[in-house]
Amino acid sequence: MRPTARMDGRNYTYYDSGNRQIEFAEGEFNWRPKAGEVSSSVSLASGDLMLTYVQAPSEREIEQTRYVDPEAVYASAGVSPKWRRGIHILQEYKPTAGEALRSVVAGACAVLCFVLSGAFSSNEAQVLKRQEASFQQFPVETAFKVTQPDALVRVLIWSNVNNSWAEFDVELEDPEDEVLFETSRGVEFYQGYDGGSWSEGSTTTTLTFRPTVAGQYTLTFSSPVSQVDWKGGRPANRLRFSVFENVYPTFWLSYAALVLIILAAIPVLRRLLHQRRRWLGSDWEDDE
Amino acid sequence: MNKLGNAVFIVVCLTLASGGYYLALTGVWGESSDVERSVRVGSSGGYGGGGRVK
Repeated sequence: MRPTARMDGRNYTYYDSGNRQIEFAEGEFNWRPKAGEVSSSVSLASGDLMLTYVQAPSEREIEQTRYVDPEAVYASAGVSPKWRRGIHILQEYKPTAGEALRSVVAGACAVLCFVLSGAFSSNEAQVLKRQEASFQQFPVETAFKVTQPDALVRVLIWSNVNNSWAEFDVELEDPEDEVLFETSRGVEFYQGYDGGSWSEGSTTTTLTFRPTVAGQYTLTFSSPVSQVDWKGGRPANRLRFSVFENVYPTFWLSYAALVLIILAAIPVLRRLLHQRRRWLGSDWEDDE
Repeated sequence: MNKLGNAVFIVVCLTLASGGYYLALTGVWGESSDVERSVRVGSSGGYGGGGRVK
């Protein structure tokens, strides 16, 4: 753990230490510099202040150094630097203009996306209660009423596959008894132990479609097939399904929220990066 | 960042939120479609065909 010191209500954290030697000095001093004089020093930093414990041959001092804004110094001399080198340990993070506002706006938009997503999800309505059938009962035909043709309809399908796969044909008739589409759906699920437990696949799948009109639709499952594909497997023999209407693809709002969260976090990331770069020059190693 | 930059940033945020809302509202998702009957079928999880319109 880095050594610390406390002065005037501030906590200073160890930065570096070493020996220093006066090779050349110019300016005003309250002591007499002597060329070639060697002293040892330990420096600790806190914000824009540094404490340096100096042990010279004849005395022991504690120096306090304050970071001077280079822009002001350059401006006072009427010059502008061509480039600046790295981040100084005493150089505090300066937020850009409007940084907090941008974070708040992006964060608020992300929250709005989550609220809208929740509102969409709460509108989902189950139009067909969970039904279960064994493969011996196939074909299974069931009707359900769609009242919201503007949104999607989703059929949740489950089968008791275990180290096996199952597949079945699905047909949907519209309110005029015309076949709207026919398709197939399958599920496969495998699990085992190989130095640790593992699983792959899923026992569920979905069938999503956009209804053409409101009215009674007829869903038919047929031609079930199941096969064991892994040791210890068991072929599926049951199917369970339920139907929901007023379904919206809320993942779009989730994607938008994710991007907005990243945008809102940029100032925090910049601040962390700045902090990390400040302390790059420290000679402290945590494993010591 | 200047005022214009902040304004652009705010517009981008609002566009992202409203774009997500619009796409969720209009029901755009990873479906396969048949133009003739305007029937669109899709799935998630498991496997299977996207659908065939008779």
